[in-house]
Amino acid sequence: MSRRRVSRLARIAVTLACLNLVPAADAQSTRAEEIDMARRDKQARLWPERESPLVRQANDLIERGFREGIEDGYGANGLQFVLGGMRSGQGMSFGGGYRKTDVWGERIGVRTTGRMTVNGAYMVDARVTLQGLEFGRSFFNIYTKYEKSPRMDFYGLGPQSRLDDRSSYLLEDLSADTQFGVTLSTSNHWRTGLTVGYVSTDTGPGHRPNVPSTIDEFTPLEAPGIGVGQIDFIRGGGFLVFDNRDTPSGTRHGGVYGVRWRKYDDLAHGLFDFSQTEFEVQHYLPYFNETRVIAFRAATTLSYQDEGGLVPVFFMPTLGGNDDLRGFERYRYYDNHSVFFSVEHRWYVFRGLDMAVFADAGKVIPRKASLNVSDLKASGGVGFRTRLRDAVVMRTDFAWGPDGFRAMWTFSDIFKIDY
Amino acid sequence: MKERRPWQLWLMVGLLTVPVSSAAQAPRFYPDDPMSSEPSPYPTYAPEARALSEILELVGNTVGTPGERQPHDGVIPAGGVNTLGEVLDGPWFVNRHATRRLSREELIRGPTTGQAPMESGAWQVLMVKPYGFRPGMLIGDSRRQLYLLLFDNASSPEVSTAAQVISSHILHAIGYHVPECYIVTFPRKRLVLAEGAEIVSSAGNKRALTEQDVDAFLHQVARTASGQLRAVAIHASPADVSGVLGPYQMYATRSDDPNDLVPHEHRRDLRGLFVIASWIDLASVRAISTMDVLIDDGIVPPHIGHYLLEFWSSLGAGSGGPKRAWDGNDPLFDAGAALKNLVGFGVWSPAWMRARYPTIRGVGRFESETFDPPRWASIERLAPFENRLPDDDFWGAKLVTSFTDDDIRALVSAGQYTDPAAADWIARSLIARRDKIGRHYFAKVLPLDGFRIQDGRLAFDDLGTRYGPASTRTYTAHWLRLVNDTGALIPLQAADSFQVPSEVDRADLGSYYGVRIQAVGEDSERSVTVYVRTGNVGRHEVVGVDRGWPGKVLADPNRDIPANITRFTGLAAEQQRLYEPYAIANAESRGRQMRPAEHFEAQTISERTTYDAVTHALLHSRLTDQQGASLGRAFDLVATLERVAGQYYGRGGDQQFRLYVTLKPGALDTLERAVEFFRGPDNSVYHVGYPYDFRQTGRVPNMQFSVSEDGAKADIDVDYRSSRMPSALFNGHLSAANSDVRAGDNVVRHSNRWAGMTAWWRSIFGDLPSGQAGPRDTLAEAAAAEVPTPLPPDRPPGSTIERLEDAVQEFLTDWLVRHKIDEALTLLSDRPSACINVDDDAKYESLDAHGTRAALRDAMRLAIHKIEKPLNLTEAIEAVQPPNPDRQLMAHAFQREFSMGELSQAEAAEYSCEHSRVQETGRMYYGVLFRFKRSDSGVLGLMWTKEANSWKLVSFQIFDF
Repeated sequence: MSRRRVSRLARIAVTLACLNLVPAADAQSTRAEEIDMARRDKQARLWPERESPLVRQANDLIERGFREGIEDGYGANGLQFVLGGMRSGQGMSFGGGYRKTDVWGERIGVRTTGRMTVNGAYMVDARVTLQGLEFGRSFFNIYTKYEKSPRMDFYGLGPQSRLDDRSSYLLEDLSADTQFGVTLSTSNHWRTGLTVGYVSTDTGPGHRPNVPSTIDEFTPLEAPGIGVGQIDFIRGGGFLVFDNRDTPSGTRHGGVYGVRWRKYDDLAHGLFDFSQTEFEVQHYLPYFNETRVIAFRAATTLSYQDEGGLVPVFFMPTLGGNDDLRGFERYRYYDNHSVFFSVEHRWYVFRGLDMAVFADAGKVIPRKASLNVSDLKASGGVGFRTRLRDAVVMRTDFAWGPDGFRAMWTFSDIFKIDY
Repeated sequence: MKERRPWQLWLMVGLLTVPVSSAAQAPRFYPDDPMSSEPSPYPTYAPEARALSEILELVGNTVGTPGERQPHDGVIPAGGVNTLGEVLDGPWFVNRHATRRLSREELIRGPTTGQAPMESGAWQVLMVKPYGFRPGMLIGDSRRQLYLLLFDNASSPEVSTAAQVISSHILHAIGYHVPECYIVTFPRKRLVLAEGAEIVSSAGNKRALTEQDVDAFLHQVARTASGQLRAVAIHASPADVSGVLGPYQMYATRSDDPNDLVPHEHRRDLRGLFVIASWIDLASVRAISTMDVLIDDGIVPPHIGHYLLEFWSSLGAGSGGPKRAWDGNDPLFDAGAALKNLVGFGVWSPAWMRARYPTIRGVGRFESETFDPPRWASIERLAPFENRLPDDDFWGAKLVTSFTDDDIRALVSAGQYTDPAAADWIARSLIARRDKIGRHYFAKVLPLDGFRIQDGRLAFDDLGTRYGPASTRTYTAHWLRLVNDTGALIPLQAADSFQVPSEVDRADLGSYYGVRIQAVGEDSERSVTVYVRTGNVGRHEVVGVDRGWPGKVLADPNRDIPANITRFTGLAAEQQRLYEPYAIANAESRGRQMRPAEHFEAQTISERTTYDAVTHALLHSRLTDQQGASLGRAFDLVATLERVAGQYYGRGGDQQFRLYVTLKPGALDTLERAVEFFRGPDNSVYHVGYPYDFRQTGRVPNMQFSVSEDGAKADIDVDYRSSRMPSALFNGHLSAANSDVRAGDNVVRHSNRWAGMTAWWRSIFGDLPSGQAGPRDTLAEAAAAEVPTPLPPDRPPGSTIERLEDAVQEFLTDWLVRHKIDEALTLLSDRPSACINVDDDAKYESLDAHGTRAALRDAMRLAIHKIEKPLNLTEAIEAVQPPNPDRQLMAHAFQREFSMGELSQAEAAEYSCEHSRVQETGRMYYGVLFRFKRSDSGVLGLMWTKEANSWKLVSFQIFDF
């Protein structure tokens, strides 16, 4: 029953009680008698308390892990409506999913989703987590995904690529990765692990209207891996991370400092054998009782290809878009290596909203020798972060950079780390 | 007469200290004013448990304004108080420390009763709930007492457990009902899995609990330095609580509680809770953190008690750890504050954002420097908080300031902090916050209290003397004479001091006077009017206090309420005409003058719906004779309306949901001639005084006229459920819901037969669940606690049973307890007969032996299917007492389970539809009456007689209402 209706019910019920209650002047001679009369009158009007089906549904949602699902980003148990989560630039994505975290006495958790955009991109994925291990100090999960992204942007390699050279390609990938690791301390701050997986990629002409295809605009050497058909990789590596953030999304204090190394073996050609090392530093400095947070991020990705080998475009580090150089178009810069810095000043507006001013700077470089802080591309802006409990569930950023003004609306927090 | 606002009820019952408008005739004071406690509660039978949703409450209280709010043109004063403005002791509140100072030991003991979980013996873990709402662990100790264990988050030891216990002690000392909370420290090995223990999984499903689950849960909680576990044990099975009913709402009243009369948004104990919650920083105070329980202590009748339950987020504790800085300082959404923060771009910051908190173990975020009492905010905007007035705040502040520094330190010691610095910080913060509360709220009204006549003067305590500049105030007094019947105040001449004037001393005993007290040099509207009742030789008594403040204007109690509940004007003209003379006569008999529409609206919902439905059916039921000639409408048979019977808990179904009318001359003859009605078996058990039974033909719903012997009167109802056997036993046909148009889909059934019925009550009250309207099955619910009637061993089939009650018991036990239908049927006569309905119309058919045996077997099978396998007969059935007091019942050993009495030959004949034919003469027949212990069960009658020296069941019947 709606609150309004309950209120109305009570108001009317008691009012009616009053009406029938109006005593004659000499009807009662004591206060106790008046109370007695009021009770007697209400007794004749008793009505069973009822529970709204909406209450049951809402409580069921809580019991199915709604809160925990917000915090870990995977949603509540049962059927889900899913927003976002696909590659940037494909349009607003939506879909459905299903999650069950208590398979086999809660030893296994599974989640699968299917999502799409109105621009023809779609993705299906599944994650299996051996939660029985997570209760101890080890963790193990399997993630598999198929994703089709017909509007991947490419402007050419290197920091000097031009906005006018925008092109588009189709990227399809099918992957399956496993991750196994252990926590190294009782506080669970240190964790390390190994990953191994398989990924099959395919590329083709892009579908972005009025934007030429990358295949037509760039040669295979200018756009490695684009238009060469299916490439299958085995990839594996390891990671080490120290993470003492208070919460992974909407962090207010602590930090995460990690490194990941992954090796990609091109199963068919051997042409695209390479490895990558990613360094990630995030630090959050709160003040005014965490109503203000200064967030720093520094990240760099270094690629190492074998002699004569190439790093395919779609595995290259990129800058530009919703998650890094926000004043630049998505995937504005590609190259073998990247370095990126960002600082945000965030402040509390109300429980459901934070604001932030931010500045981003970074560059891509073809050679590690150029890894320095000169000639960085920079942009800045202001953003709004919608919180549900502590997690950021929606982000709207407005950024200005040399390429102009960009407005972003996304369902993910900034500064993510996926290991 | 204008309709009144809900709070006017309390004006009328006089539990307010404000003058009543002239429209209300009740005197200002009664001889028993001021009451200190509510009268003994009315019994509350089988109230329904229902939950609230944390999410929906949060959203509803943020974007909506549930409950009645203060109107723009005045204020609605608080209710639930006596004429002194004090909250009455009762199921909501019991005045404690501010009224009778508690000793240090009592403060430390708080709500506990020495029932902490036994340290000797293992604690059986019954359930673990690691996720969702209220994560915790349910255990049973060696005395089989149940406790909910709540733990601190691993990263913030002692913060939450101490907060829960300290706050529960404070709120208990103030007067609220709170659960017993104990801090317990114990080793992991004390926890053992109970047989059948369960865990609620992360997906909300239950499964068997394992030791690993317990360890995983405990891995997340804080431990003491010695590695032990520390928790709060909330006693979950207090002896006087017989049922948990879910949270109470912060507005409106419980619709099933006869004692809950004041809308919660207007209760002083809830309005004043704002000040108290601000003191202990109980930011999460909300409906979902409360609990209604059914209290049955054997001393007072069973009634609903209202508890504050959760203080997990009080003091420095928040949800799962230290408080967030905004808890207590910012509601979920405050547009003004949000706008400032938005445009402030992080540069502007209110003081609370810059508060400094210590890093002492167990403290969390709790301090006093930036505490600003009126700016404190609970997360949800609760209706009683939004409605609070200066006198509500004064009440709360008075209770808060009743605690001395030593009292507060004693209360804090209940938190059992390991670091003395934590207890010291919490206590000092509470003391400083208390002082701020006193300074702020005592400046809003004249902070005078404890009024008494002492040495011929009006004396009082000035609570402001401890809190700031108020100590310099000088007060003036002006005496007035109160005309108690009208509330008029007439100034006395030369009576401008606190000395009791001579006129007052000379006045008749029981006269009333007022003293208006004002502060010199301050706004004259900030005043207190104290009411005195004269007694013998100066032994006058202070009976009332009324506080004023600038701008206080009482809202007009006669403002109109929404008019869309009016139904009388929606009735057909004939329905109105039938009602009008009844309304006028009924009002006059009560010494009142009311227009018929007013009278109708003043009836209960069930009375109005019953009148509407029955008269609607009468209007739309045409009568014809055998030749097809019109006999008019059923409505035309009615001369006058005598009474409308609505829903009356505890009464038989034959006395509810019907109209009692006088019939026009010849009505009985018309019913006999009308083909639309047929004569059923005479009412031999129910409808006392209305033996002739006329039922409408066709499928349900159909009307029933029960007509008096002289044909002058009738009770008329509509049966909405089929009487077809055996389903009628359990479809509500035999319960009062059968005739309640509001129950289940009855209104749809009604409309399908008689078009044009408007379910006008639905928009206000919704539908009742099917079968809900019937009398509550209190006996069934009490059965578990009943000592069952001892049963003899199972007798072999064919055994000779001497006494009738033993034969009946054997039959019923074989059937309902042992589930041996064939064995039970050995007691059935070889030539049984019955008069029951076996098809879809309302007519009862006379069954032969074969048909009776088959019908009885079907009924027995259905009953076994419908009722859980009972352990004994007492659990399965209960006796039904015929409403006719003249009927003689036989005493026997199983009279709790069934009643038994001799039948006349005519009554015996009715069991086989042989209305007029007398059964075999010379034979004695006995009737047995009982009902199943289900709310939808009706009454089943069995007829027994002796055949060849053996007791035999010869017929059965369902008794229709």
